[in-house]
Amino acid sequence: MGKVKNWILSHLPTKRRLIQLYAALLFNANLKGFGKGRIYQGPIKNICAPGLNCYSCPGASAACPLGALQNALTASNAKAATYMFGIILLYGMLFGRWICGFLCPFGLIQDLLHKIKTPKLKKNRVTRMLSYLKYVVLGLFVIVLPLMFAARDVILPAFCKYICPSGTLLGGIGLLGHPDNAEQLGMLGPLFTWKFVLLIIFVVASIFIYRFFCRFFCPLGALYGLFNKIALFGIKLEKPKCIDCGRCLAKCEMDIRHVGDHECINCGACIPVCPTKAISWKGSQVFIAPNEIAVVKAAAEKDAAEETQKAAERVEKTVEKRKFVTKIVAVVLMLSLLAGALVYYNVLDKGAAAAPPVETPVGDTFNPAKNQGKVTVINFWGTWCQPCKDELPHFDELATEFDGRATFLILNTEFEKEKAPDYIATHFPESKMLFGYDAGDAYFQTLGGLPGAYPMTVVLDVNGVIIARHPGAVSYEELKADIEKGLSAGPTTGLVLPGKNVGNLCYGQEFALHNAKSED
Amino acid sequence: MSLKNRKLLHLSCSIVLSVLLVVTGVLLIVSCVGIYREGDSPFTRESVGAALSRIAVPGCLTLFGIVATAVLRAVFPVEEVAPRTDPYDEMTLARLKRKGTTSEVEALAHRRRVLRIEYVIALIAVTVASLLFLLKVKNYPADASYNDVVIACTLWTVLWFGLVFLHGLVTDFICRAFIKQEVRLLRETVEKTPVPAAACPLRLWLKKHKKQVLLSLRCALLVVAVVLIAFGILHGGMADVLGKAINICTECIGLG
Repeated sequence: MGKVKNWILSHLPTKRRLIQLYAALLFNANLKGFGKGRIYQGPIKNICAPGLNCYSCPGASAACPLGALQNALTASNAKAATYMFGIILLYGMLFGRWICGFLCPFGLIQDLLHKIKTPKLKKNRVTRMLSYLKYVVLGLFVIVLPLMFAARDVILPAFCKYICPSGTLLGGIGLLGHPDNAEQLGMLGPLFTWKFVLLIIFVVASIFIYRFFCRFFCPLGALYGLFNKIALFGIKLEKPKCIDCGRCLAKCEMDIRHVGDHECINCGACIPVCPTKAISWKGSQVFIAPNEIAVVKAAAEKDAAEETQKAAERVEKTVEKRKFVTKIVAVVLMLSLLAGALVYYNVLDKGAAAAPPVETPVGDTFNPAKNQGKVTVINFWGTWCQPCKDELPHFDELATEFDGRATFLILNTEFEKEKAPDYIATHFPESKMLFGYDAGDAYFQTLGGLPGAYPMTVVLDVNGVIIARHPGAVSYEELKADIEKGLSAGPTTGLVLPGKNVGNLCYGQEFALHNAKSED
Repeated sequence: MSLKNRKLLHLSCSIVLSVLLVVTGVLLIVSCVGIYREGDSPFTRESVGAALSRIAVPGCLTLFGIVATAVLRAVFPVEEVAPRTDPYDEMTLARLKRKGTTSEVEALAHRRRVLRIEYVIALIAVTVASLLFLLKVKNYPADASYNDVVIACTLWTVLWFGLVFLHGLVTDFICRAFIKQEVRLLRETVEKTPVPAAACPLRLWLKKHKKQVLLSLRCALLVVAVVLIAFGILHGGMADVLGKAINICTECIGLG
């Protein structure tokens, strides 16, 4: 029993592990999202979490800084990414790579994977050199490619699209793994296959190599590492006390050359192994006031050993008391924040705003359910979404080809109610397509869309029956085949059924149009 | 159980578990690629379910292996070997050099420096060549698939990094030979009196005013960060972040 007790005591989670778990739970506080298979779409997502946590995760309570940075850079031909630069600078300057060691959920996943007992690949010169690969990833995928394509008005968050394992694991598998979202699996293709393969490589490699993704690929770690020396949180080395024994280097599993350099994730594993206590946390002296140190020094100068010892003991007791009080206050604040977040996201927050009552639109309108005799194609898009913009010219082509036999209704989200008309006027001034907006994004959800996931295209036949629903982009050939199938549909006495299955009669709604007149 | 047998047990469990993990990973990859190659829109609940059921046995074996290894290692523990010090020869060299140096060591260090300079020149040449290529890539045809452009950029960058990495590896390997020689010589002839460091005025000034410089830098960066954030909020940057976070372009996160 004693052995078991000792084993349990020696394997209790460390403070660092507890903070990591806390951070993972705080940044994924929308637990009901996992249950419903829906992402959080509330206003708090304008705040960025400091670590790598994809905002497509059903539980994500804040935005991902890397995704937000790339999206800001892709729009940099129109607007400078000052907000995201400021956020990255603030986080870097405050925390540096302490974020990697304590706050990053994907770092936690890698730490836990590495605990699986297999032979491990130790760091060496090769891994040290490979650690510079993440700067290449940062330069190419996060900065150069998005900027290069921004010049061509193409949105390409290259890291998120081609590499990020957090998006695949939390967003892809987390979102699409929910039984209710099984129909969305149809949007997966070569890109997801590539990313899934990458994810498996990262996961398996992390078991054998400590923090495989963090050390060699993570551009966020690369960015934060640049601030490590000046960050307020983290590890510091007191050089006068250091005897260059190398024990800290030997203990550390990251590719550091010295404690606190750009590779150091400030995990604190080196602190207990330093024989001269030269390594400590930054700000650890904040509990001692300068005058208290002066009292100890004055006693030492008088060469009064007993007095010095008493003064030092008094200072030590005071420091311990202050540390205890600070710990209690910090724990209470952190638990309150977590409890507040859990209550807000899971109880108080009512999800995406309920669809506003459909007002009678003034001016030109269109109702898909009243378009019998013609095929109706309803597309949901947004100007932030490159695949959405890429497929609109194909729709335009088909709208012209099937003019009089098919109607294309292109609906943008409520969020872009004011922005989309400018884009339409610039790119599709004489189009046969009808453009409107979907108030509250309600129609999108009625027709089976995964909230927040664009684009989606729904095809109704000449009787108003839903014959196809395409989550994700749809090709020209596929859509043309659906339209021809819809045109050849016979008469039907289909019923309006609840749910979102193909084969139901489409619910109708009057849509106010941005451009063309409604067709009677 | 004797220590030797325990170590053998740990090793065996580790090897078996490693094999299971790699095999399961490979099977997952093969299943995913297999589903993709089945045809248009191949990912369905049925196909994913069928693939998962095919790898259920190795998957369960792996999970069992993880648990079993953890239990066995807990029941039959082996004391962990303390990590060796001096993981890098350069740290040893720096420490010994503080105690003294010799002309032979200096000569070796000079040759090592020349080798490093040659490495940096090669690095610059390869980088310039890559940048020139990337600038050409900027002029891709308007109708070219951007996936092809990304693949071309990535392959060229991987090639560049690969060349740099190989060159660095070779240079480092050769430099290690020099360092080992220097360490050996220094260990034979080291003296106790330390060699005074060269007095660069700027370095001395920075060392003396380190705290003030750090504080000023932090304050300046904090002000810049706050100004950038405020400017960004006023110009709708925060709203853009919200828009992208709540409305996901599925292909932009790799679901396509």
